[in-house]
Amino acid sequence: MDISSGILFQTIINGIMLGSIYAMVALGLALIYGILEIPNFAHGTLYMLGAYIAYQLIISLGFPYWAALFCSAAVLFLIGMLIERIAFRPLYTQPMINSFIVAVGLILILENGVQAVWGPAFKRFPGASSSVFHLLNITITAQRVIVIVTAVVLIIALHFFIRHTRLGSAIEATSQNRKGAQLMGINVSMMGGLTFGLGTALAAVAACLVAPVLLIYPTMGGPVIAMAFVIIILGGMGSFLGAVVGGYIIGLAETLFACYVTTDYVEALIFGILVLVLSVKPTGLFGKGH
Amino acid sequence: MNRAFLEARSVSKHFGGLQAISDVSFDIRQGEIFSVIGPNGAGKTTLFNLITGFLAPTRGEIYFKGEKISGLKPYQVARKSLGRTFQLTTLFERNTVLENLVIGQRATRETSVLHGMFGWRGKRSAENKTLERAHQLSETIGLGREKDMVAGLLPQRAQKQLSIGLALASEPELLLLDEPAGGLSAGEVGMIIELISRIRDAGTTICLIEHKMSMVMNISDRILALNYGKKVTEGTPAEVCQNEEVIKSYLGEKYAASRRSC
Amino acid sequence: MAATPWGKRIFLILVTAFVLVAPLIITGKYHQHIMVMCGIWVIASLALNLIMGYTGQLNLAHGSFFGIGAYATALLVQNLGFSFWVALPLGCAITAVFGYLTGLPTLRTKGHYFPIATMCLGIAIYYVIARWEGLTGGAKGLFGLPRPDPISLPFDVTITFKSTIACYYLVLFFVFVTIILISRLVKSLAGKRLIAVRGNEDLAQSLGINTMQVKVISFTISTLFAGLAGGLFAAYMGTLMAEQAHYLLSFEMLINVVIGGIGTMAGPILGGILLPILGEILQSLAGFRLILYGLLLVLCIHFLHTGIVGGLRAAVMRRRRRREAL
Repeated sequence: MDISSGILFQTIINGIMLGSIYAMVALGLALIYGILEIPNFAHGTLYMLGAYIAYQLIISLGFPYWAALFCSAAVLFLIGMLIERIAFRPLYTQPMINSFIVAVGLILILENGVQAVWGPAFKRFPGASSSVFHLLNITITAQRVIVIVTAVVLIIALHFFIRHTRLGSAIEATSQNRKGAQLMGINVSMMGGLTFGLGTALAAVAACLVAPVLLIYPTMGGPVIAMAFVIIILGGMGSFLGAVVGGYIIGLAETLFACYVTTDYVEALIFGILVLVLSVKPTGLFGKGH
Repeated sequence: MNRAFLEARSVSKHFGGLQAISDVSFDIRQGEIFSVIGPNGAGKTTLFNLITGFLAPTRGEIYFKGEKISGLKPYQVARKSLGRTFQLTTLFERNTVLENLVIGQRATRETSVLHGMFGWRGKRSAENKTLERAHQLSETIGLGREKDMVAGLLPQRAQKQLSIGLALASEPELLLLDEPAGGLSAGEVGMIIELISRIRDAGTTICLIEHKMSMVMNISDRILALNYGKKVTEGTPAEVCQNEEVIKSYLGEKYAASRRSC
Repeated sequence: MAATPWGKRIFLILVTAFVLVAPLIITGKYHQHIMVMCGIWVIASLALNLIMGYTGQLNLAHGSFFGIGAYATALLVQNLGFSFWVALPLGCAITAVFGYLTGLPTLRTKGHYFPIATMCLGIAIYYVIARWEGLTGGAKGLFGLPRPDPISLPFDVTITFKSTIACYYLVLFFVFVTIILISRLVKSLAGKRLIAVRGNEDLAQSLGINTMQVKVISFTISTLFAGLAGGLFAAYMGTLMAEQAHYLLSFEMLINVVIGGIGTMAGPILGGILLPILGEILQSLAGFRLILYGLLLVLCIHFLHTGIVGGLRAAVMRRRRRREAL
């Protein structure tokens, strides 16, 4: 394979990897929105927290990679449930703007809290594997492949969970029709809390997967959450498929654009696309009709 | 007056697979009280939404005073002199009764922002006039004593009165009331009937959706009966309550039997 | 906040008098600097309150418009040689145009989407400013911006703006202008439309109010004043960095408005004064300051969502009712 197609292939792999991250984060966001109808601004910050917790476990406590990832996801699951219960649940009857403001407050607390504890400098931790493949002139790090594979596995597992398990169906029912689900005896408050925890845990896994590849820093959540919102708006606020497909498309688009055009105005481009789509279809491309 | 004030021609509305309204035509004459009746889900509120611009018909047209209004945005329809209330009592809950009645007036929607920030001449007097009118309106709708109460804290009856007053504030020629007596006791219903009659006598044409049959039969000049989104019949109360299908689907045999002449 | 209209007037007169002579009483250079900054934040906070408190739309890109105003004014002076007195209104106009153009598509969205769209907008603007080396100096920023040109008055009197005190009065002048214009708007009949849109858009539409137009106008005006604050900031500080358009700034202004009291005139004024002062006091605690703000924000929304001013008013109401009941 010659150099230019080698670069293309490598860029595509990077794009799919980034897309996997975006898909997971956007999916978590979509699940939370689907059931609680609040766009959780603090999602990006929780994503970041997941990476830092894994960092602490690996670097200070010597946990192996997968154990740290699992623990981080579990911790963030609990934190997510806690945040839903304490910060958001009291506000469901109030105008939506209040939930947004609370999310902003959470961002400030968590971002600066992390910065206070770990400092603002970039950090990194080793991944599951540091091996590197050489295949026909292209270099692929194993970690990147692991990210993609893990993401795909998780997404499929999640889909299965929602479609074919009782708990998953209960969550889906609650997100489609809260009153109806309540009448059927489903504990809708608990479903809300569980989903929030689930979505948050998903973000944590995404962060842990990508941390060995990209570095971690306290404000890493910002660009990711913005992208995730663009994705779910374009794909439809509560839509599972929209989040996943959108995530991969945007991940690829961003990486290709950055490689072949310029890294400078990616954000402006993405926002421009968002604005264009919203002007034409204010409820997103595959809206759930919320 | 023979010319149709509001005219609906073959109006239909789909929502995906659901046919909410099918080929409904009717007209409302100026100065009358026109009621729309039918079981739940018959499409009554959908019809209101179609008339007032909150929904656009899939097929058919709606004309007001000879001008086509279907397809216009809600605020554009409102500016043509149509007012409405909502099935679920909708008010500016954080504001007082007076403030609500000021917001509803034409002067509020017509004063420009520049005039608000920089205007001098006539600003104070215009504001005083709207306040005065708000006072009068509050008396007209019977909330004279509750003027300074916050709308969200009013009891159900007062909220219904206020929502009517709010719609009235912009001086509409046609007023659409969606269940103005919803949730009210028998005594309170009498008061609403009286209010509606007064409004009509002052020159406003009224179209209302109501479930309380005694009220409908008492007050209406003509009635439109809907079922499953289709028009069943249209006519005077006497005619409508003799209609077989209306009796079967909605009124019930006992009601028809107990009211020989409706 | 006093119970009687006369009490309120006296209070306002006292406050105005104090504010007018403040720099003569508080003479420390550092303190005067803080007073100037507070003035700038008050203008920005009042602007945010217009779109957020009175029209009910949460604009998370407000800080970015502050930045646009700052950079626009600075570049007009530095690159095009305009005098500050021309650059400032032009800078405001440029910011307002940006506001209008971005407001149109974003305000069409319903409910949830608007804050998200503005958040993305804010991030996009920040990165454009931070990366456009040629125009904005990129990460380095702009420096060496001059203070406003001296004004010549009759009788050989010239007002220069080299001193902090002079800048304080300049900013104060604009604070008064902002307060007067915005409060006139909000209290007028046109202002009632804002309240209607905040209350219930469908209801407002049914009353003939063009809600989209109301939102766009409110948004544009709010960005204009944000640009004003930015322009004043640029002229006073003399240096600008991309940080001045960062979304963190939007959060800080959000905090000013919410903790001060959303939807009131006094709230953003109080917030715009109190919080920067608090910030300076907590300077040594750096990161903890923001954690504290975040905490205050969350607590405020849960327990005191009309802010300090709202809370005080409610307390006064309760005391008055108790007195009347006796």
